[in-house]
Amino acid sequence: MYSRVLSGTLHGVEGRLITVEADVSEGLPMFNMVGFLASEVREASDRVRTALKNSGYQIPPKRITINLSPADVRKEGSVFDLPISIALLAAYGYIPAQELEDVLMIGELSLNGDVRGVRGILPIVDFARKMNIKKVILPYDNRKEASVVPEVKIYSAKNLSQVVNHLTGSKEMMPVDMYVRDDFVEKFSDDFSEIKGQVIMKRAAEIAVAGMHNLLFLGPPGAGKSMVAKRIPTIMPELSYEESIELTKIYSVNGMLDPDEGLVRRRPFRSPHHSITANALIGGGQIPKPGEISLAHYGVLFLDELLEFQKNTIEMMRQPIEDGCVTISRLQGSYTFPCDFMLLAAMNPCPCGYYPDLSKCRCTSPQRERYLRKLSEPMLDRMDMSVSVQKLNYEELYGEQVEESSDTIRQRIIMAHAVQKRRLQPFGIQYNSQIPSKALDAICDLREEEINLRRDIFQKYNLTARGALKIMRVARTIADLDCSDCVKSNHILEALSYRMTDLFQKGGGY
Amino acid sequence: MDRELYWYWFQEAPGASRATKLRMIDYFSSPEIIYYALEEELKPFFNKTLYFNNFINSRNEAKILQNYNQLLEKGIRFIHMEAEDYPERFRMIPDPPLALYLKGEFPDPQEVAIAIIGARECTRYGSEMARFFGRELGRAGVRIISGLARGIDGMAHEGALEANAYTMGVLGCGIDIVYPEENYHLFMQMEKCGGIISESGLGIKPHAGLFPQRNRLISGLSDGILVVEAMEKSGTFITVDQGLEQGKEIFALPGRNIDIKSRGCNNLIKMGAHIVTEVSDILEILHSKNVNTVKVSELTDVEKFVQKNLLAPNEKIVYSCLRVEPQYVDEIICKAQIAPQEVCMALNHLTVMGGAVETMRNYYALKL
Repeated sequence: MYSRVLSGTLHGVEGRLITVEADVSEGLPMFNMVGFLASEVREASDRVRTALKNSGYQIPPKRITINLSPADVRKEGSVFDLPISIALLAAYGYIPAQELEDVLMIGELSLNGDVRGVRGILPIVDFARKMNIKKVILPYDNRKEASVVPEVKIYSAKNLSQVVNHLTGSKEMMPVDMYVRDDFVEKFSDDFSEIKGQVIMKRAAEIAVAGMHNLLFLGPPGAGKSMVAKRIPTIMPELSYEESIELTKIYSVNGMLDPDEGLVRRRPFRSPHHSITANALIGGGQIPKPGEISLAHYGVLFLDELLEFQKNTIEMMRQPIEDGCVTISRLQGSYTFPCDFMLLAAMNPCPCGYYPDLSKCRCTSPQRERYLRKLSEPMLDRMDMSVSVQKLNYEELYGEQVEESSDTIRQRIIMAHAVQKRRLQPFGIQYNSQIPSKALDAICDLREEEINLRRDIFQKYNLTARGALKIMRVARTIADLDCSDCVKSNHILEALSYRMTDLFQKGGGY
Repeated sequence: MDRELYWYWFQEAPGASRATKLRMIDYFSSPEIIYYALEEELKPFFNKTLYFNNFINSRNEAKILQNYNQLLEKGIRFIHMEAEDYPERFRMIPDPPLALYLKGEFPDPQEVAIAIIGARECTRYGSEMARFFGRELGRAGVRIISGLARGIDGMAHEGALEANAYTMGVLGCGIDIVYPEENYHLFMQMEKCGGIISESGLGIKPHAGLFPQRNRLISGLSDGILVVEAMEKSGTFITVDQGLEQGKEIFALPGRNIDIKSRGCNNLIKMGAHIVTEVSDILEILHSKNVNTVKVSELTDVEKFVQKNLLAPNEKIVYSCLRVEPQYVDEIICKAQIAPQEVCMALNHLTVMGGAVETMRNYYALKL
């Protein structure tokens, strides 16, 4: 007899429909599986047979053929155990075939018939919704993650018998309720109010987030660069539902979801070590998986010790940063992962880190130059703003001064984002950091005074077109935070404090 | 061969130190005689056969001529002890150079010359002061001598060039080597409107042993030595010691007592060096004709800048917080007691107007 069950697999962070067909016929007893299978899928035959036996279903020796179609898509992972066993039971006549129409099944089996959780559930269930499939049966462990998809009835099973009983109608399961905690209040263990002093660094962080500018910190070790970086997600606006779903898909594919939380509701903060390879950063592998830049989607990617990263690794980020997504091509096809993140980087001004304080810095100027020579154009091009950091003194560190909380700062940023959205919509962009040079004058609305100032600055600092563009973008963001429609002189002047040109000059020690 | 060429060969000849060569000159009276001297005659001057052989084998006319022409092609002049334009001042020092390689011109021997020297790793105070004294002394007609090194030396030359004054660099490497590279622009300018000398010929790489020898030439060419900034143990003191040996005046610029970068200078003052707070201090002691120049105290004249430029109230406050040493912007914010945005604006506006400099990102100092 022949039977058919729907299942799904992953392609990048998107789902794909797979049909599992089973046929049982007379002949020499054998268990044959076909359909471009990876070895872990091929091993399913042993798991399925044993699980069926241990769940109490008799499988008389016959000629069994399992086909996973479409045959030109490589099947990976253990999600097919459940659909294969159900298809087999249907082919043996345990389950009526009409019950299997319109149901999608995913799950790994253990030898005693328990259904185990798998990774990458959300993209598949979301795909099922798009394909108009009304019911999905999946492992109990994955129910929270899957339940966020609307319009689909989710049934979660702990073991094989539950699924069979549900399908035969002897004991039906209840669909899982949508598991989105309404009481979810984004809570961070960190807050900006914990950072004492560091006025200019905080201001730079606020501007950077308000315009989604990439930011570079310069300063000695232990000055609080990482501390500020880590708190940047706390001043970003909350994730929208759609953004949450998109982010959850990426984490689901990588198997990094918190089992207690259905959705990723918090903006990610990723801080890869500088020994990271290009593949781990961008995404890769034989079957490509999202890399760090995708895991930082809608959040912050922090590259501490920027100069220690491999040059080509950083160079690889050029396209993804511009496009907001990365496409990785392999023999089986190309995979696109979203990666719309804010880049933060930190570096020391010299090998020991204390320059320009010459009473502490023990580096010679050739050493310093050699160190800074590692800072390549591709790296600098990635960044929009730079700010220096210095260690706090005792009074600042233990002073009584009350610092602004993340919430206060966030309110200003939400406002600035709203203004930008309205203004930049006609140009097809969202944030000031994306303003193209040809639209700059229209967006900044400079008057004569500002144009004169721009000319003075251009000559004084010997700017390039790119350098000037970055300054004007930042000035636009500062004006937005200031609720000003046009960019004024003082906005441009403040933006100069964060420019990317001439970070270091000769003879600056003290 | 020309007389010049014998000297050139003698200067470049390997295997003998300068002291040995001086003794040979004493004995034989001229390089020409040495060139044609019998091997037995020369042998007693060498204690190792290898050195002796090297010396003897260098007597190759074709090669000498080729190298000498190379020198001329590069516009380098070769000046030996007995040449007319050999500086008289070098004849007075205990260990005079046999010959020199020169780009540009020697300083006018009638004019007062001063060596401005100091540490390579200098603070902004040091480099600004070196530039100031280079410029103002240059303006007063004093010849500025220094070592074209990183830090104080380079800044002193730079100051002199700003004043379009004559300045001479004394190298510790081959005359055609630009070291350190960052001073390339100084090398180019000084060839044209100053001078560069070295005791080493083409292609000699800089190494530690050459610098003390160079220092005796720096002090030898000058009437006085001004130490701008030096730590307690600094190579600068080799020059000072040699200067003392040669009977030159020593000047030192005082620094703050706790500042390790100025400790060497302060020690010099304690030991009796002339303390320098004004350009005229130097001019008076060296009996220069011109005494009226800018005073150091006028450098940081806040009032003048404020009067000259119409400053906003905030900018006035911020300007008064600036110092010669770079300060981190948070410190300035803290002192000025104004909102950080306002301080940043003021600082950048002052920078654009020329009242402040940003020495590194977010570090600001008073522009001198």
